[in-house]
Amino acid sequence: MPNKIITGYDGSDGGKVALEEAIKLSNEIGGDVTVLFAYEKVVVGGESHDLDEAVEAIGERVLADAVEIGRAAGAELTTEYIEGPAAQTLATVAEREAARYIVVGGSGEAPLKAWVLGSTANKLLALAPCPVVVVRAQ
Amino acid sequence: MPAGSEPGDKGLKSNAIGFVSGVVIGVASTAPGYSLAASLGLVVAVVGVGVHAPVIMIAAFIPMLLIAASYYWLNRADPDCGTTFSWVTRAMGPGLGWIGGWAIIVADVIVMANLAQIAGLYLFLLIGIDAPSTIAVTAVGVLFIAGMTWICVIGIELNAKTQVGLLAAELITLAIFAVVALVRVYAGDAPAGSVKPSLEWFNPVGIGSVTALTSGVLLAVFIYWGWDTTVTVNEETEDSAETPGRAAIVSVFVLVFTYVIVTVAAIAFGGPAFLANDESGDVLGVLANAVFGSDLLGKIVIIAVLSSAAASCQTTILPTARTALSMARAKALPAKLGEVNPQYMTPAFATWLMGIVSVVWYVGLTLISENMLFDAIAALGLMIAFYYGLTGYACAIYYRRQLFKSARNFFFIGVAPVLGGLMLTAIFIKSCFDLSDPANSSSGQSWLGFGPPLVIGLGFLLMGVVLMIAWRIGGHPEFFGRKLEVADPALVARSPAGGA
Repeated sequence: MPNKIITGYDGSDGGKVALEEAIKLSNEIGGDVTVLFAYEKVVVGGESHDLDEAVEAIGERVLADAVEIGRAAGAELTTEYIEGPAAQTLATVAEREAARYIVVGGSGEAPLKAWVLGSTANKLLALAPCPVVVVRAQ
Repeated sequence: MPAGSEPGDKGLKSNAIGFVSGVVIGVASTAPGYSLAASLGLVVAVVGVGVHAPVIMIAAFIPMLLIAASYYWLNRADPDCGTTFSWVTRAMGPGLGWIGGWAIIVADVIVMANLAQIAGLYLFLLIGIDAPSTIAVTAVGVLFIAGMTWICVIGIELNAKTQVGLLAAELITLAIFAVVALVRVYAGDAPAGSVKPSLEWFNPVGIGSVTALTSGVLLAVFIYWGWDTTVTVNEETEDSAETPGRAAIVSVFVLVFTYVIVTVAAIAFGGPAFLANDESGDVLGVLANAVFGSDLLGKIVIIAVLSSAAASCQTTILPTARTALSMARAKALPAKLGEVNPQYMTPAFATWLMGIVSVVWYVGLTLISENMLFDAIAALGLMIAFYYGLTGYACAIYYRRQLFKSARNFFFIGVAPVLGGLMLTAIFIKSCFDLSDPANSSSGQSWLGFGPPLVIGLGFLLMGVVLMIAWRIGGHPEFFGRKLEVADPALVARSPAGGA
């Protein structure tokens, strides 16, 4: 069974280094990369349908970019648009796929939010069912 | 569509929320602590209302309940964060729809000033400064708006769990306040001017005049404002075909009960004269100190009002930015307002704009007169009555072909929304006449010979008409060329009994 590597990609520079590292890793150990775009809906403030649609459009564009990046590096990526907090969804998908590694960027995803609530990489330390590779943007 | 993402399979966690969370979000969106702090004194002060304020609290709830039915049904047909804007556009045409959306945004901007003012005042009360300068309160208020806007931009809203805790604390505090106040009144331990509650307070006929009733209700619709969002939040239930809307109904009873009991306790303890003559704008804070006879316990009420104002601020900014986003996506507003920040996944531009306009409005109004902020609540009542009324009519019009298919359709989708719409229209028109007399406003000022609430309310609506026409002259046929639509019969066929 090939190794499964899970990574999150949001289109940011920090996300891109993680994606590239995940592809590199998959080439080295032999395996498939699944790229996630996670979005947590906001429950307060009533109906959010249009906003969710707009975010989904962004997510699909970002995931299409990821597929391009993968293709350029000679890898076929699987992508998944998923609802939920980033760290939790990464951990859950990693568990479902019995992943070998989770690869995430050390920064990039919503820095201000991360400053207040903690970064995805940090939260994964408590949630991940497998080793987590954290890549810092240069 | 990327591999792995199937429509309808939006991942691990759906947005559906549980029953308790549904109730909490409904009550928290209405912000009972803040709403009472902002409007209790004003309602009691209406000539002819006085001790009858409790019955006003109940009366104001009736049109809101009826309009909530239209929110429920229209959201079923078109779950869109433009709410009134989207629905009225479909049922009654783009012109009216645009004005409906405009009214929502204006109402939200107006209320931000009052939220900021309450937050500023109560923060000073919290640190023991009873009479802060206007400049100090305004400065804190502006920081409050800026901070809350920033929080919404970077997307760190309270989650449902945090809200449960905050709301429980708020309701328990209000309950303790009411119980202690009433016990002290009955024990003869309350200050001079206190009165024992009587059933007469609940007698609508005891209210002096129709003007007093409509003025009171116009101010009090505001305390239920926001509750409608509950019916648009998807509720996760064991039998989702039968029970959506249950959370909305339970939350409204929590609200009515809270408002009535706190109103009765406040009037009984402080006496109607004290409440009516209070010019501090923070009746609840002042009363809390007196009721508990201790600054420390009084401060708990102040904290409850502050957390309520903060929650209310979020549930004001978020839907406003989303309404603007929805309008922009429908080509009814500049595309910039429909942009979503790719980093934080929020409508950042619309949110910042909302914050900036609110600050300008708040500072401008305070510069004119602090009493203007009270007048703004009456103006807000006009806005709410306008767009809620419009929503009521839109519901019956949109579903017109289904109304006569069953008694249930007729009453819940037709009669209830239209009745709610008619009540709010009547309040709107009567209030316009009453408010044309400057003497009927809090500030007592005369603008162009009229009371400021009327000038603010109708002024904004007229401004909306002008802007809408300007937008139309600018082209935008994708929006203005839209045809009227009717409800899909399947929406009613699969519907649960009762509705909201």
